[in-house]
Amino acid sequence: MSALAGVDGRERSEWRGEDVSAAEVAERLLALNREHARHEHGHAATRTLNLLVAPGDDVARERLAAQLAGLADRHPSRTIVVREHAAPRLDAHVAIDCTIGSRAGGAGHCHDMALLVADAERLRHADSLVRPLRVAGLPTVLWLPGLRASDAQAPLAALAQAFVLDSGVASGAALPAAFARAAALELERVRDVAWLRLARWRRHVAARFDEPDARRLLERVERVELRACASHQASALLLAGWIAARAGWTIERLTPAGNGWEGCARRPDGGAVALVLGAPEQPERTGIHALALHAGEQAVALRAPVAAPDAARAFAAALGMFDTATPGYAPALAALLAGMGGA
Amino acid sequence: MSTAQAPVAVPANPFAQDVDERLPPPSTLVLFGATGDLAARKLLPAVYDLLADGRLPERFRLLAVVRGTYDDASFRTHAREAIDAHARRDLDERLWSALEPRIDVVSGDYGSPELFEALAARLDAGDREDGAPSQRLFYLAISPAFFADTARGLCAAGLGRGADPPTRLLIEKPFGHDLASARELNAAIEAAFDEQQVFRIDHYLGKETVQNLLVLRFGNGIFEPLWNRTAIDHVQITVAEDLGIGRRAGYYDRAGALRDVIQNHALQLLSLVAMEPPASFDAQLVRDEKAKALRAVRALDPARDAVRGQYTAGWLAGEQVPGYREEEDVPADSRTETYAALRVEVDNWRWAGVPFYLRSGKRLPLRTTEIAIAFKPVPHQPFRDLDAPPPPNELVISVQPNEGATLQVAAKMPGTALRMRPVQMDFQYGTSFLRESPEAYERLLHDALLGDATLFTRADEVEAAWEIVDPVLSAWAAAPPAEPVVGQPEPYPAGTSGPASADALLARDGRAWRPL
Repeated sequence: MSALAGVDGRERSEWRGEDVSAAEVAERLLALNREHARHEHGHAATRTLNLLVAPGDDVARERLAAQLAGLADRHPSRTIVVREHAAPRLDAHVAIDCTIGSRAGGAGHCHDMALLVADAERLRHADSLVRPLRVAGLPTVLWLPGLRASDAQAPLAALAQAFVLDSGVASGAALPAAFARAAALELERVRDVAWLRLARWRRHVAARFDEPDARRLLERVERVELRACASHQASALLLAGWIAARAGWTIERLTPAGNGWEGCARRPDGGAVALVLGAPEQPERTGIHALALHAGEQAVALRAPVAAPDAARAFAAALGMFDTATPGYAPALAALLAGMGGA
Repeated sequence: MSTAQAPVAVPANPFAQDVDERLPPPSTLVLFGATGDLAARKLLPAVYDLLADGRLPERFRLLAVVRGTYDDASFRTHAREAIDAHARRDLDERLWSALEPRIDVVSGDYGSPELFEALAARLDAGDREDGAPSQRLFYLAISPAFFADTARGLCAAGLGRGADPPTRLLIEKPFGHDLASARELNAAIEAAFDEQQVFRIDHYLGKETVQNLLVLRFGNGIFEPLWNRTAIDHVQITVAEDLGIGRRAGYYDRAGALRDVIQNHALQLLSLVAMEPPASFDAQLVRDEKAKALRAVRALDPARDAVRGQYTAGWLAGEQVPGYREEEDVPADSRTETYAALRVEVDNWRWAGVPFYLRSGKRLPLRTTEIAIAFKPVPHQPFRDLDAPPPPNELVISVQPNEGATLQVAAKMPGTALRMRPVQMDFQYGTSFLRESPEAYERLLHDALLGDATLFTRADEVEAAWEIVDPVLSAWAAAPPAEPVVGQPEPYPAGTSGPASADALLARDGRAWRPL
């Protein structure tokens, strides 16, 4: 079944099938693309990667659908979502969403998506479902929404150049498990959105420590204080882990405390560094609000970088970084997990 | 015996290794001409957009140099309005409240030493307030007539060569109005600043597609082996505008298309197409190669290699528009060219025998800037039953308005008969990378704050470009106005593709311009 509808400058063509084969899904996807090309709206296929999505069973369908809905406007990809159901068969939903060129000669853009729903046995061979659907020659990124692993994760990981996840979906006592999940993957290929949200903070920290006085103080730091809202705890901890790892400290203990975390690290000269992650001074503040490194009466203090919010950009950046390393992430994660007892 | 203590080594910054994009050091941007059009439309919005993208240093100040009656408060209001109207991002009160108190005003006459003394004092006061020095960037968004005096004034106030904290001078074309004046200007600036401190802006170089030209050439294996006289038939560089001169008659009637566009934008594009691969993407090495390409251009024969035109009344986009001489403040007997085309040869091993055709004009049918690389036809035609040979391949790099690149190849049309048709392999920034490109001025300001001069024009490039066009300008100026053909620019109706002699320039070589 195919439908074509134009609403608010957008068009959607779609097809649904129950108990179908992967080959039939591939044929339908191709047919929908051809059908769209014939409409001559000047649509450009905007695909720069294959985005495989393997949500765990802790990710609600509606929430995932909402996240995917805006993807076409933010990142060009062929998206293939693989989910589990109990029935021993493959069901599929294929859709092409297009924006319509707004002026004569202008090109809109299209985004196609295949949702495959199958039983656990098929998911354990999800690579065989997905292979015929990938756009040949484009890089493949595997997005792992949620905290629990899908049965499809391992077979799809073999096809992907990079894994996108977000440790930031966890908070409080669930954080060690989220970090451990990332650490269990091949870290060079992990793009953690919680880490990418720190891009501006890391630039500012690096810029501040260009100053010789700040670098001298780093050798004598006794206390690190971070202020962050609950939804940014993972990023704040990664920032603390990064600072510790690059300063050469060993995090010996890191535990939840009230609305935050506290712990201690050891400097190379044996000195102790207290680590404190607390809530923002003003409860309405979001994100990571402040960072201070204290040494006696002296301190290097940084406020949140002045910039527009970049939550969506961090996810888009993660998708686009299939061939770009994320230096600093692995040492930061290792430092944190050491303090959390290996989680 | 002296017992001087060895200085205590400061450890290296351990965080720098993990940051892909460094922030500029603490900086003060001193904006001369801060109430002008360029500042309002481009520079103030670029500062705001850089702030919104988190690309400005934590300690950043904007010092507006004005000649009018602005004070801090009224200029901040003006700046807010300009940002609100022209920035890529919506004005965010939180961001504005961070920027606003960092904007101050110094007023005075650009020729007056008092202005520069006041400026130096204000800069020092800002550093004292911040507790540490900031680098200073002087952006001269003012008439070129003031460039030399301003550079001298800055130097005399201790803000030029050897200044501490370090300083940079940013100037925008035109860099002179002919070779002699360009040399004079360069000499005046060199007397006040080291060349490494001088950042000459040709905003075309800040555009994504122009930078992508280098990536296309040197980041792909398939193009460079073909990028020479063996495979390329000719190159066309077009900078077409549909607009007239607006209210710029005062400037434009003294400049004309050759000075306004060909000498800078078009020849910069030529240098990027023609340059040899640099050893690395380093400012010095890239600009060395660009300068070498410009110096390899064969001296033009004005009568043979150059064409000029002037638009007359016509129809454009369904509207009747006046001719150039009917425009406001344009003399009725003006000989200024609103269209110029050149046939240029680059005399080196790579490009021997490959003509570069450059054209720029106003009131052309559409606004487009593009570089078209026309490849040679196949050497042998195996498809004997074809009515016409397959069209040659063409790579078109579109700089504006639709940034992207298109490769034209021949394809078999579906059906039992063997028929060919040119089809396009198309790459558009707007659809391949859905995120918005930064404005050219954002990129250039950011690079200048970082001290990266790769996308700025060096003095020798400027002079090499003037050397190319100077003989043509001289010949056009020397031709008696009454002389038929050469004495006047050839008329072309607004909305058409230019004068007939421009078509003849290519027809003589058996070629034609790409249609506009």
